[in-house]
Amino acid sequence: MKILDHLEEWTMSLALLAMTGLTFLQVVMRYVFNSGFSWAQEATTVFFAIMIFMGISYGVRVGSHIGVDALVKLMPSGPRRWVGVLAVVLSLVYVGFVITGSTTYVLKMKDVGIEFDDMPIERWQVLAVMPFGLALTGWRFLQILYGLLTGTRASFDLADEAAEALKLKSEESPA
Amino acid sequence: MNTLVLFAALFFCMAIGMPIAISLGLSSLLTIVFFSQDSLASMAIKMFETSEHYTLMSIPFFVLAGVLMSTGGVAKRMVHFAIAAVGHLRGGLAIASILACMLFAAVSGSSPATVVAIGSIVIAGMVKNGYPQEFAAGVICNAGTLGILIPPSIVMVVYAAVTEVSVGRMFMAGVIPGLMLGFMLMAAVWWRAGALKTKPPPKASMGEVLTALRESMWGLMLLVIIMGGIYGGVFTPTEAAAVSAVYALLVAVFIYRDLKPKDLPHVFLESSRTTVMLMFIVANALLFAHVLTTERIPQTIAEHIMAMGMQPWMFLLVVNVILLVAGNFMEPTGIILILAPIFFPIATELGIDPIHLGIIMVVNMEIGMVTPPVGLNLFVTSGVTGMSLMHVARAALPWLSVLMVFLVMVTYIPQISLFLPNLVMGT
Repeated sequence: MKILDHLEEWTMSLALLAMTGLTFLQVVMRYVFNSGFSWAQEATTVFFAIMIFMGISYGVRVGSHIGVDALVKLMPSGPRRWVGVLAVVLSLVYVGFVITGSTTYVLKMKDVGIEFDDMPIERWQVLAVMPFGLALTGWRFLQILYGLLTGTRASFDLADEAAEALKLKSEESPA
Repeated sequence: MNTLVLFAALFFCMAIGMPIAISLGLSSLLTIVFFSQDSLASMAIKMFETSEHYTLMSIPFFVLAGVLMSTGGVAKRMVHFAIAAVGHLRGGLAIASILACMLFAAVSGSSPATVVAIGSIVIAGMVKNGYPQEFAAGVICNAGTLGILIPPSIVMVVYAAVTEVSVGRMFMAGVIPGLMLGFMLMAAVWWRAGALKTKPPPKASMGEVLTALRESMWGLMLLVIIMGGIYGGVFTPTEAAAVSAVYALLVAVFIYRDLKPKDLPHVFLESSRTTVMLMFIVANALLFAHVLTTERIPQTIAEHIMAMGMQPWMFLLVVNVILLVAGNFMEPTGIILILAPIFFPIATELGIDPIHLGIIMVVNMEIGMVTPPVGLNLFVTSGVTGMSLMHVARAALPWLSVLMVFLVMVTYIPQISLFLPNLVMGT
């Protein structure tokens, strides 16, 4: 499982690094060398897609997807757990819908075999990151569901954005 | 019927604590599955297209630049400069703090980040100089909201992406309102500070001001890069964002040296985490917007409104009330993504400029950030000061009235928002 955790984290971080680097390079090439790479912008969108769809499951694992939990927080712990179960099950329904839709699309694209405009890669090979990422997300939701049902987890936690911002600050302040 | 299902499902999902992104996505998908001819595959394409949206691509870069600059170096030097420049006035430290918030807002696209970066430095300083803690916390909590009004602004990028207006125009429209609100807050501080028994620091000499300016130059250069680059036609907003991220990285690692190279993986992970959270909401919100459009929901509402003979000023009043209420319960990106696709066609029908509507929405979001129960800036200020949430909310209240007055001005004087973009970029 550790490998899976690292896979998510490294994929996201490196995709962001690649996007930033490529876009910056484009600007430099245009002004300094008066040229550019035709494939750079397309490659940037590919990395963006990889980051988004590989990052969703990471977000579920660390609880960074924000939501409205004002109502749930008012509930006593018993019902709160069952509402959590319902929320996770509905999230799994959503994941199922998206996996079905994207898989259909990927298979269709594979049959047609269209390549990118400026890169010798077939489109479906990149599109496949969507069902793959959502499958990982489904796996994370199943883990939460298991935790809720066995009682090792009290609720379906959402992100506390403010706490995150402060945590970031306190981690850096000693430096 | 389908409209009812769409909204009932959305509110139900949000109420039981599902992530906003999935609530939007699931309610849209259910509506499509039961009431529409569209296939799930075509919906998957819609979601995937989010990653090919050129404007939205600036979000990861702005987030990255923001995380790099919140590390302290840039903010600290901006505070020093602000204190040297205006610290000697009555209520000078508080006025300088607002100036520092404005400067930081001009290089960062987020409000909570502005409160954390500036607030963690200046609130303690103000208290040490005899300001009541409530005064200091209240001022910073409100001034920090300028982060999303003064360009660059992630909230504006999102608005521009869903309504397909130009990001450059939105950014430009935020300049005058941002400066105005900053100066209004400063004036309020100057007025209230008369009752305080604080001794302002001695007036800094011209030399000291210049030294402080030179030290904060590396951070302030970002402002020039972003605004100058976009409006000088040097690069697109997305490229400007990428350049500012690389620049912020170089400054943090090599010039201010407050970030060690070994911290970088953490910075990238943190930034991509925030980006993914935002983009997942955006991807699903585009699905939601698609359902709204195919079901002609905004058009139907617009027709009703026209039939009722509602005037633009009444519509804007309704918009403000809805946004203020929503702002109490949700965070800005979610609200913009859900409500902009509904308001935008109606406003267009009524002859309201989309840029003007955008600024009104942003100012409402600012107010939402300082009102309980879900006010991001309140949480952050409470974290920075150690005061309780309700205590911060009460402290923020007097200054909130400035924001409310400003909202009325922005709503009914379109020129505040439109003058500069029309002047610079033509109508």
